[in-house]
Amino acid sequence: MADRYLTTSPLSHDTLLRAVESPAHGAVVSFVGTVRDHHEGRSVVGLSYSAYVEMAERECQAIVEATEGRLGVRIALNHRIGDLAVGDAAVVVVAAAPHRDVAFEACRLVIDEVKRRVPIWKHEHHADGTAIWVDPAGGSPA
Amino acid sequence: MAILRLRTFARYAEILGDPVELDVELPISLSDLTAALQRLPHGNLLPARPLIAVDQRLALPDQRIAGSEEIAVLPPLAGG
Repeated sequence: MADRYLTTSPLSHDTLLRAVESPAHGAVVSFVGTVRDHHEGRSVVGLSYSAYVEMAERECQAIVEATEGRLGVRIALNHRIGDLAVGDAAVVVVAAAPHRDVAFEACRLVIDEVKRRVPIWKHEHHADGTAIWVDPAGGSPA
Repeated sequence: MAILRLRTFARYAEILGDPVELDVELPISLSDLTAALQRLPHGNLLPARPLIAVDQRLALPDQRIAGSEEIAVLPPLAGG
């Protein structure tokens, strides 16, 4: 199971697209999350992602299987860990469904659940040489 | 008393070290485990209720820990 969803290699949207497309699925929706050059007013030069890999793989699998089972879609999901530069893809979700409404819903559901449940962290590197651990809830890192 | 070993990650690995060893009575409630973590050096930097995973699943508030599980204390999740 390890490294099925998490990888240190650059992400390939095309590979994930090919993994879920089929003649029965006429709608494919993708989400690609990339590294921004700014965050909360600071200039960002890169992110270092780390993970509790075993649990993250388990949670990703649970999210994918639950979404596929509930909505009758096919999901491909990859999250990158390691050092990423501005513009690099950090996460890719591809949802394939017979029709577009469900494909959009599934893609949104998966990325929201990844952010909510998967134990991954990012260390944000700034242009001025400082770095912080990102807390999406807005806490103040030590 | 027994030694309970916990995994830590990201910011918590920096401030607490990894792994962390606690000398505690087992079984232990989640709130008592949290209190023990907060008594560690720099443990005051932890939130009131940090995320704790038991056997790679987020712990339930009333969960008790026997000591044989894989325990991890998790900083705020920031994937995506």
